[in-house]
Amino acid sequence: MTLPKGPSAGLLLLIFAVALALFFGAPLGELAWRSLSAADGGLTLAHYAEYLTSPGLQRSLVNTAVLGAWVVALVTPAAFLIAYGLERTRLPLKGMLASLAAAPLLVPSLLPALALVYLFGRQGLLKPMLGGWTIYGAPGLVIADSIAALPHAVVILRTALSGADARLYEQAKLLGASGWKRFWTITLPGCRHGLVAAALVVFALTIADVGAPKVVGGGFDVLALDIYKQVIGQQNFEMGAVVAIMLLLPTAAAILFERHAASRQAASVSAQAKAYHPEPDRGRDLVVGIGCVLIALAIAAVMATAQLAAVVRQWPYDLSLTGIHYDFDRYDGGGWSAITNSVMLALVTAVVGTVLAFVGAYLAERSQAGRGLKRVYSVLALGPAAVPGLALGLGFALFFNDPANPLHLIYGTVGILIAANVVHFFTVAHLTSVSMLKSLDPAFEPAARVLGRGGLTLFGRVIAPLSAPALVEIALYLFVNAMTTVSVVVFLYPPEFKLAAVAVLNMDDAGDSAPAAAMGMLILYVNIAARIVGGLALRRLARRSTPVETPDTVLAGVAP
Amino acid sequence: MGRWHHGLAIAGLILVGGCSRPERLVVYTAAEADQIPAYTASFKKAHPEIELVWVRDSTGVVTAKLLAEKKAPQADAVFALAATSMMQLDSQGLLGPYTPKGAERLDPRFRDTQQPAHWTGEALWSALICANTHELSQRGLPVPTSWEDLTKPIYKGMIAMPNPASSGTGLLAVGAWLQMFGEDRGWAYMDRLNSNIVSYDHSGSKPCKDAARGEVPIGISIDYRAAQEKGAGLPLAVVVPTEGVGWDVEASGVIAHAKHEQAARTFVDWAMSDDAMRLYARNFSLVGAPGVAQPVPNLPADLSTHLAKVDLRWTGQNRDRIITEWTRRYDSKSAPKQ
Amino acid sequence: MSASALELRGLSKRFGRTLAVDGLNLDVPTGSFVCLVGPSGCGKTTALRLIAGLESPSEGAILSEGVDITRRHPAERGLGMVFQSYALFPNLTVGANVSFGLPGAMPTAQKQARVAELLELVGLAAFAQRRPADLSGGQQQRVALARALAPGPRILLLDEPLSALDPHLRDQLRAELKALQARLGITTIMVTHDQAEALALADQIAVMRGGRLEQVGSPEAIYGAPANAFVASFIGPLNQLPATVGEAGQVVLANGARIAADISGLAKGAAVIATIRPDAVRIAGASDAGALSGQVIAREFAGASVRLSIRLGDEGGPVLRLDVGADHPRASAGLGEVVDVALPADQVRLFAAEPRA
Repeated sequence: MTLPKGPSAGLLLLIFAVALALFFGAPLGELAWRSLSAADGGLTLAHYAEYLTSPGLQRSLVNTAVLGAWVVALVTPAAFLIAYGLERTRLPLKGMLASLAAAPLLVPSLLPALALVYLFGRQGLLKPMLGGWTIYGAPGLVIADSIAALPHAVVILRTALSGADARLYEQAKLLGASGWKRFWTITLPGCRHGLVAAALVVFALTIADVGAPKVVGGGFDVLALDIYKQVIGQQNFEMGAVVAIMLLLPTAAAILFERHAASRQAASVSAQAKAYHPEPDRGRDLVVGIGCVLIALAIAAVMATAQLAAVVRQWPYDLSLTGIHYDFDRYDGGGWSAITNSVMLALVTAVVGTVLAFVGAYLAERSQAGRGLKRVYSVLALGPAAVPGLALGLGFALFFNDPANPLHLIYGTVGILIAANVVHFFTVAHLTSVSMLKSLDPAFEPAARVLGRGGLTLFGRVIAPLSAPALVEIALYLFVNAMTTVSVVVFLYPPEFKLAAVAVLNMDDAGDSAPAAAMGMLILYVNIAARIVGGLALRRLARRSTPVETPDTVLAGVAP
Repeated sequence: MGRWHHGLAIAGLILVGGCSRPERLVVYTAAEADQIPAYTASFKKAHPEIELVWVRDSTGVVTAKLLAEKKAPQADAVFALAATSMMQLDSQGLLGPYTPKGAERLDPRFRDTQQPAHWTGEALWSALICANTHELSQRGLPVPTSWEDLTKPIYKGMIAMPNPASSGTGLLAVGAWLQMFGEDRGWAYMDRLNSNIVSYDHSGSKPCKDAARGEVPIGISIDYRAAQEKGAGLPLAVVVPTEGVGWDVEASGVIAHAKHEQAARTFVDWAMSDDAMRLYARNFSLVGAPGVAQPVPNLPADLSTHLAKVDLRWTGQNRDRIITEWTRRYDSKSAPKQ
Repeated sequence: MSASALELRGLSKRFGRTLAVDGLNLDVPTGSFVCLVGPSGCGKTTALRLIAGLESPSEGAILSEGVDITRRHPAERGLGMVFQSYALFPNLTVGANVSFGLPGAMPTAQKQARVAELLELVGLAAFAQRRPADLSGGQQQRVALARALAPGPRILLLDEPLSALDPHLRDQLRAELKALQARLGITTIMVTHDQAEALALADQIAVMRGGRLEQVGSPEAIYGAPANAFVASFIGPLNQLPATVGEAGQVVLANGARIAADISGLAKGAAVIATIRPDAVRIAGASDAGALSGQVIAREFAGASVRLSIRLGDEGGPVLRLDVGADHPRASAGLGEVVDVALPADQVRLFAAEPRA
């Protein structure tokens, strides 16, 4: 009558694990292999030697490290200020502040860079403020990447700060500690793991970004740009693979360390903690509020500038309004179809990615599959977050372009874009699914088994509906990221299927920065629309059923 | 659960639709993006049965891409790629022999010496100087008139030029300097120029676009773009340097063993037709077919008389060497100190 | 005599290197209410999961009415189970929860009738359209019970079904559970760590420790005649006084005091533990020979009675707890006062001294 469910769940999970190995492990392996393979097919370190001895490398390496360090130094305190403002003060308009702080997530990293050129370039609105300085090179890069990385750090630090235990503060107050002392002895140490995690994520994101260096990099070469130049400019895949590996190592180290820090942060939150509600404090709110307003205004100014640039006929000589820059067929990048292509790709990525990540997480967390297999899958699923998009994309290009590979048939199709996107953003989707599933009663499965109902019935009637809010969050995350990513698809998109975010890059490359800004802002509006639709769906779900805590904190996770 | 199934079905349909490819002619090109719609329309009218798929990028990228795909070519034909690049592709055996209809009527400079031809040129383009008159006069600086002028310290940090590794315009400028001045003096010239350069751009159009909006006051750029930007009413001086301008020929050809060889030949025939030539004549002052050329608005009328004495074959044969040397010297230069 | 509803034969379960259940032998007569009790980690829940088929045993067999069901799928064992958390599906209505385990082939009307019948049985007929979160803890527990009973099992398994409830609610539901079980006559196995619950509900109690059965018997037997000091102390409050076997039906406590006990079969000088329940210790009257006296060191008021802790002899002497009726004159004895107590010999049990866990 009823089949034993153990073996079939195990088989399914095995298929998932093999798929991850094939679409994540194998491309990375190919990347490493190609960086070491000689023209005659043998193994060699010649590519590394060539790259390491080229005069540009040391500069790129140092530049990359310097850039990462500056952005970390700038973003961590700024993000802390915003997170503090949102979680620990009684500031008004917190919703607006949170939205503005999250806005850079919704655009490709090129857009803030483009806007900076319009603001502080040689024809920039605010150029006089800079004295003799220009935005090109390190300064612009630091600012652009800071804006792009800020929301990620804010999410992590909000999580860290929201876990505060009010009992500690009450105790400290009873002991007579001043507000300042409480900040230094409770608040800061309480979120130190969060601060470390935020700094590491920001570092990893920054060094992996190719958008901002292309736009405002000037001659300030970084590793990510080197990969792009080697592969796109010179079609030198071996050398691209070498640089990709060099970028992969620090990124992976940073993310692994971040995972560690994040788990420590999670562990430091006591189950009995009493929620902290900030008491009124005018002075604190004023100081924090001014900082938050300045940062929020900066982000708003960047977005507004990009939109203005998109509708002005000819910056700075003819500021009359025009829609001419939206005639995308006149420029590189694929015209209007780029935006519809991107929306379609993002939709499919969201659906496919959400289903795969959730089902995989379910099998790994709650099925009767073997423990060893579950552990292997869980480790595999954590991998993609540690790999920069450029490295993954290049690995995909190398692995699937080989005509001897049976999977070659997806090369040059939309399929490879979907696969690359799903893999690239898989970890966050997986972790969000896991924490959702962990919040459900572990007795559901035994109960269903004793009642004679198969795992599929339980999954369809109970697990999936209960997880609907998390599923919406995951889909939204995947959609937004698939809309904005350049790095993972830039080596993969087929000629007849151009993408919006790549179009921003290509149009800027060709000197068409106004249409590039226009396209970038279109991506923003599409993503805002997606967030609104997702928000409405979440609200409906919340009304319909018992509120199940959505583990949105995991969305702090990262995919550089 | 019902909705789940529905969603999955849609996703599956999209996947299948996205993955299946209709028969189509893939043409790699370095033609300027804003020229392409007119070409597409003309070809479509002449040959509605063939679906044209453009893969457009800058000259260096298209060349490198074709070389990289040597073992499994994705392209059927090449259109409007620099003749110097065509020569390099041909030396690697990438181009198939095909002399398009009416090739005999074309200017000899536009034709391959082999019979049958492996490539055939349709138009000639050059690299000249775009200077933003508004920006220069604000700084009290004169508009430069020669290549030598660009090395003057007064223009420090004000010049952009295309990177010859990726841009055909960049390469023809460098090739012309090396041939006009001689190799040693040519590199010495570029060393001096380098100290005034702000950025080496990916595309041959970008320096002029940036000059037009004043972001970088002076750009060494493709003539076509200069005409376009000036035509848009921007404060631009289009300067033909006194020493002469470098040039190259945009050429087309059929990829050897192309999947759609017949369609590719049909396409190249079209590219050399009078109809197509009339389209080129709107953008270029010199086109292959006689009697079609007409003055291009906003380009100096005497441009064709200022073409430098350049041997495209020399540039083509030395392309790799020039780019390697150039990259070694200038590509990893740090941002100029302001 | 008909075969037992359930019979465990040498049932063992190993997780890696730990033996969670160790050679369990148990007979569950049809219609009986059996409680598996023991401290946490004693293997009682694992034993229940083995019976349910949620774990497969490393060794041994499970028989149901004489048929070996060791390898059967959980759903084919004819059991219903109520989990500690109830495992009610929060997104489904009460009615949908109850009908979850009904065969898919069953006509809808029949399903509805069955759901109505069961909700009637547990007194929640009006709640079919509610969701579990709208119900109180006690009501949820009853829904879980209805769901487990819906497919008509022959055996009901209950895993700590009352532990999630408030103490006063627990007593009430305990009574309802007992009444329901008696009315349905369904064989029931319940796991609990609460000995009072076991005493109140069970026909048979099986006390477990470290994966093994320590004693099986009626509540009276377990309470009144525990097999060892562990069972005795686990099943109710107990004084445990280290002693040595003396002469003439007496044991000698650490402070030299002597108490009367049945020492038959014990060698003189053997180390034993003399045990007596606090409610068996009496305040000594004038007629009591061999009374012990001690100083009150703690006093806890518990409504109908007062529990006094007295120290026998000097500082460091053994401490004895006794329950005194609240209306007894000595119930008001204050700290430091001296109280004389008598330990009826038939209430004193001696167990061999064993190393304390």
